[in-house]
Amino acid sequence: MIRTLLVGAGAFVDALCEGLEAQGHVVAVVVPSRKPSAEVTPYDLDTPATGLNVAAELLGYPNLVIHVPAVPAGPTAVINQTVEDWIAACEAPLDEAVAVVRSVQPLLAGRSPAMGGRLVWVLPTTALSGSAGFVATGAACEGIRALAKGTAKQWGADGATTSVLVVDPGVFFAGCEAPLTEGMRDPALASLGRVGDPVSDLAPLLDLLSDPRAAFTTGGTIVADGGTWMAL
Amino acid sequence: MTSNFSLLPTGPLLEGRVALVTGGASGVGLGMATAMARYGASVVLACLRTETGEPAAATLREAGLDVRCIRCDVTVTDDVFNVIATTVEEFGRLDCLIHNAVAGTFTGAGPLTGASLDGWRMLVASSLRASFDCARAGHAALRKAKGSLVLLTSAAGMEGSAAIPLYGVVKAAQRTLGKGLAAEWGPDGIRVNSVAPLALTPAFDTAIAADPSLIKRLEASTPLGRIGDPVEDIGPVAVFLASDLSRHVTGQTLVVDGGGFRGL
Repeated sequence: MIRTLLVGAGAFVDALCEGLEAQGHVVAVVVPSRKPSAEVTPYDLDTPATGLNVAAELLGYPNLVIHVPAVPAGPTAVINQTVEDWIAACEAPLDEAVAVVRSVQPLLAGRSPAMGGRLVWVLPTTALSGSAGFVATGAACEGIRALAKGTAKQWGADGATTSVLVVDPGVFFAGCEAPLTEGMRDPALASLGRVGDPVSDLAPLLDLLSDPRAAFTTGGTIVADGGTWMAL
Repeated sequence: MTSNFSLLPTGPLLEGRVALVTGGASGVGLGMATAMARYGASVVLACLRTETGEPAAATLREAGLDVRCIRCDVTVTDDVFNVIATTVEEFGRLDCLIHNAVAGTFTGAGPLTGASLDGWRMLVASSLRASFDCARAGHAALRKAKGSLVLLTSAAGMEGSAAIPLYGVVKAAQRTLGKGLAAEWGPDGIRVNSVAPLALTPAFDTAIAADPSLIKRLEASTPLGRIGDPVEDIGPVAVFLASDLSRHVTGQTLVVDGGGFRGL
């Protein structure tokens, strides 16, 4: 049985949860809270440990922790962004990711690779390419990719691993009614003719990453967007 | 096919242009500023510590270059807006804005579980928030000049770092910030690029002091066999990005490290 802590909220996270349960995972969803603020760092980096530890006590030691950072769904030009907009799109997701690393390290590290101990971030491909209207979000997500690499290097000796699954922005921002930038939500751009379903396409990949047979990959990025972005 | 090479500049590349470099008092920032000034630009060193920035600017002025220092704490939004407004007011334009300043590199070092949160906050403020402020404050002048924004990134942001993981995080974020801005500002005629240097700087000296074997290891892993000089090796890249020679280059990262990092 795979025990999974899923950190995040929203329609996309709900769909991933459904898909993971369909794969046989026992899933606890941890919804991070944020306090709106214009301060440089609005996020309490140590509070998430409480929620994650409570979930871990209920669930048992997790094999897999998945973090899906909350970012604004709609595009905003940088010159039109307020400081609060910027924090919500860039600094808060980064803070949240750093907080997750600090919180779950005791849950994942120091265990045998066969036991799991994997931290995975799910991000939009905006992290890789940057995108007009999503400058701050792209910056945050690429920062998280570097965090995944640095964490992998620090945790390697403890047998804990990290990965990043990047997905089509149209899938990541599921439920968003705001217009996205050109190219998003365009299945015609995907080599496979569709951009992916969280339940049937993405959750199985997360399940694959949680498998002990995937224990020798760490710090890497898997692109799962049906073949739209191939520049890695 | 007709060559358009004649359209490219051949004289003093940056004559009549104005550049501003944050963190310009020393290291890579001063190297870039010096090189741009040598190629004819008027350059503002935006410095937190004028006690080091003023002498640096004075030295360059004695060499016949047009350089001045203006105090700016990049972690203070008003300072960023003020230094850009003052530059435009006094020089009439802004062609190239280089955000080089960063603080907290080593205070945010070490195991992530024990990393200094003050260091993290300083990294975010000086790198990311300051990039956002530079973008907002500089956009109008750069659009008018069809200018160039340059952000300083690092190989640590591309391959991750065990020693300074949080530095890698903000440098990666700055790099994709630059890509996104390039897409967003292309229609305005503004180019946005990133530079990932490795050079003999005061920050590098700090790292060497902590680990004296570092320089030999780095030299051994660098195909060109040496660590770069801020003026002679990194500076020309700033000249290139500030000039029309790079007029069709945007959204890119130039790694200027003698070939040590080849992951792009």
